Amino acid sequence: MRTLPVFFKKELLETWRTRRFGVLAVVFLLFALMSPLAAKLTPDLLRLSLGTAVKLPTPTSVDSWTQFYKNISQMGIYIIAILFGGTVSRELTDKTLVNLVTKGLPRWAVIIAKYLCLLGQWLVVVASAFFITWGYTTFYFSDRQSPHPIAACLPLLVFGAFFLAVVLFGSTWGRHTYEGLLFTCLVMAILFLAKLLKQAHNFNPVSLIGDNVAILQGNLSLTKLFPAMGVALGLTLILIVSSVALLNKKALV
Amino acid sequence: MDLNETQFLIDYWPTLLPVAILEVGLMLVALKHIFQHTRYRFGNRVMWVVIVVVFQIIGPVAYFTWGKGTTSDE
Repeated sequence: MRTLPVFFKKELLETWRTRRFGVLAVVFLLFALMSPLAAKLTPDLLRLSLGTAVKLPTPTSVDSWTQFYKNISQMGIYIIAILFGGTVSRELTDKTLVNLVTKGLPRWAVIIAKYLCLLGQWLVVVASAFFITWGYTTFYFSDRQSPHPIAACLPLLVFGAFFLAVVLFGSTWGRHTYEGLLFTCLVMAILFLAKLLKQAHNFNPVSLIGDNVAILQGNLSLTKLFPAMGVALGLTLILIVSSVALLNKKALV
Repeated sequence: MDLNETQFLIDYWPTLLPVAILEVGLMLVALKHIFQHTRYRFGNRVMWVVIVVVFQIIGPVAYFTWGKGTTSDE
């Protein structure tokens, strides 16, 4: 068990020194800062291009949060997939695990440490982005149309836990970063296709990043998404266990 | 609201200032790294400087993801 913290520390150091965490943090902070701004300015920008005659509704806090969830679910998670898509496969191509494993580092510790490190980074950047957007949204929009910001963010955090497990499994399965990315895109495509099945909506992990604004406004209860959270967390567990099994079978040299 | 520039800056400096700091900061860190190294995973120095300066945010992210090598001299 003592090997896990050691490898975890190595992972933290790596993500810091390769500047991956820095890039991730800056991008998510920019999303957080620009969401309220974009919501506030969109009507003015439209008026500039379409002329002053166009009647547009005044933006509300809901628009600001819509921008936030759109930015994170349409760009943020793919940036994560690109940045961390090589987390296992790069170690295998560079043969950097050979020395550690022959000196007694169990392979499961590699996967668990990598996953915990990814999850930690995700929680830190999303929570910071969330609080910044919350602050600016209350600053720029003094309406009461978004009564449940925390309940709306919770499904996003759970989805992240699932998405990172997909990225990790893809990276373990693929021989190259791009194969891992392909796997991640494939999983997302299947989940979006499954969205067409209306009955499965509350069980589909993708609903966790699609229904946030409805929860925020109070149009949808968070409890409706509990099945999707259960499915997402179950799949997370399966993906992590399969990653360990896969890595156990892989040749390191 | 009319979009005259000074009024715009006065109204939105609480967001614009941190955005500008983050964008310029990211660019400077990427430029520092580019000038400290002579070899990249692909491309050359001029290409990366242009990409990082011209494309805000996306340029530096692309550099740190694809341009920067993993060994100390890249």
